[in-house]
Amino acid sequence: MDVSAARPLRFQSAHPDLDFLLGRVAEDIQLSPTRYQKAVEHYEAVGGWLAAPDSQLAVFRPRVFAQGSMALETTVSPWGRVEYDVDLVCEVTGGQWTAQTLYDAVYTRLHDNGKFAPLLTPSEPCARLEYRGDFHLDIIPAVRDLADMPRPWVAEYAATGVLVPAPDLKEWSPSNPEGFIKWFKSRAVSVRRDWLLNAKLEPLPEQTEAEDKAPLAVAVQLLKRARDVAFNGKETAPLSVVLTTLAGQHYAGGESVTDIMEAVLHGIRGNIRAVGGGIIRVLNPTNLAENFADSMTKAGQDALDRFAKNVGAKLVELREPGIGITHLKKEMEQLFGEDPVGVAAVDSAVRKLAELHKGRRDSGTLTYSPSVGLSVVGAPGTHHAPRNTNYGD
Amino acid sequence: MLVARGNLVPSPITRQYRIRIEYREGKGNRPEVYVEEPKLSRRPQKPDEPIPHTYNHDTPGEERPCAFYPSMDWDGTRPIATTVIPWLMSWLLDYEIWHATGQWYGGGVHPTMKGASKKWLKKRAAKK
Repeated sequence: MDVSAARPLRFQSAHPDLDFLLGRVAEDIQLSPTRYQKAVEHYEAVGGWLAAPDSQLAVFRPRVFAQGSMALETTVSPWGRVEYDVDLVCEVTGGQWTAQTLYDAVYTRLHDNGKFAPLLTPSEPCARLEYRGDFHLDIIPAVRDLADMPRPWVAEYAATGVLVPAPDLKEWSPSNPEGFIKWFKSRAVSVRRDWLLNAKLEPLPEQTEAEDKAPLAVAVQLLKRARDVAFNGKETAPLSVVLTTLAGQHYAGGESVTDIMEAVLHGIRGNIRAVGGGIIRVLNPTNLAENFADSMTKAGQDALDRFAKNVGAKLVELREPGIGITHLKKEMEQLFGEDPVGVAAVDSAVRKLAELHKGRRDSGTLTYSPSVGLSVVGAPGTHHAPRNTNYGD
Repeated sequence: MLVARGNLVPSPITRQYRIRIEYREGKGNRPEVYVEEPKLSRRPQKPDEPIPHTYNHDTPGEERPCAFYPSMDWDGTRPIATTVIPWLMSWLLDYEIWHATGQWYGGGVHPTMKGASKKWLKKRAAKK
């Protein structure tokens, strides 16, 4: 096992071991780097075909890019299904489109490809390519510059606003997937950086390394996963875009995934209390006229409140010193486990901690503080743990 | 005879243990470690499997951690607080991980060995 990939945390957390375990679980429930690469290859092939010189769409310079969890780095293993959802946008520039004609043009072009045709089904307003056992590629057509189009977006995000077909293909809906990505990154990366600079901690590397993923993104993954486990396919489950937006809004900096999840869940409960007998609105930060929660029912809100309360309470319990690893593992399985993917993820996380402990001990770099215990993951303790010459041989 | 009792926190995610260390100074003596509460136990999934790296491992309820190899790691000149205590912390962390995963990550040598292993250890001790 490559222990070097499991770096110790660079900051003071009150519960570094739990943060470490949560980070490892998130790594195992997300789209793996190999499958991510495969998804990219697929959508680059789609983009290449749509933009090819002999394509009817070529003159409109179609651009295919990922939106949603793949773009935000918040992917989670699909619940009750094998295939990941990959959300793509096919954006064109120019042309006199209606929602119906744009959809038809994209669908027809995809259908004209002998490789894509057998995989293709309409999933209005998307065209869906099903790669059995791997992905569902959902491609939504979009147009950037239709004459007299409504422009409801917040100024900061207006440049990337588009129109996409409504599900009935009879009208347009304003959308801004790139704007949302920009907003979320501003929360995940910029707020994070500002907080670290303020706390006078080690500066961040320029690029996001695989093991230096924004803790907000990790928290969103785990919240989505906990939602999948708790709601188990029930239709009252909060939408991913709702959870993601609320998480981004309630994130105020900080590196501890545990603390971020707790703050977000606490914030959600606060939002629900604040509307009294009504239903919360979760406005699209790029388009304040759009409420991501407009389909949330009272039952759904009550369920979300219960979910936030239960998971929040569970996290408080897990970060209490003295919980015990067997109990911690069981609780984490109940939160994130229940299916083979989750159970394996929790088990692997505990083993990675064990390997880190072993590695530190074998290399003579293990430290401890008398009343806190061994410092396996976090900042070094006050005392050096002398090598026991037997161990590790 | 020194008897020290205290609360040991191996790690924030393990349980906390009340332990007892008994030490009588003298040649060949070494500290003996007892875990009083919570008591060490076998994995419920495999009740016939002894706890690894313990003395009295065949007598449930009587097991004591083997956190160091007596003739090699203990020479009576080092304070218990900065040797046995952190070794015990690591042992208890490994013990809890073993309980949770079934695997012992601590490495180490079992106190009752036979034949080739004993010879190997003697060779190592001679090298020091």
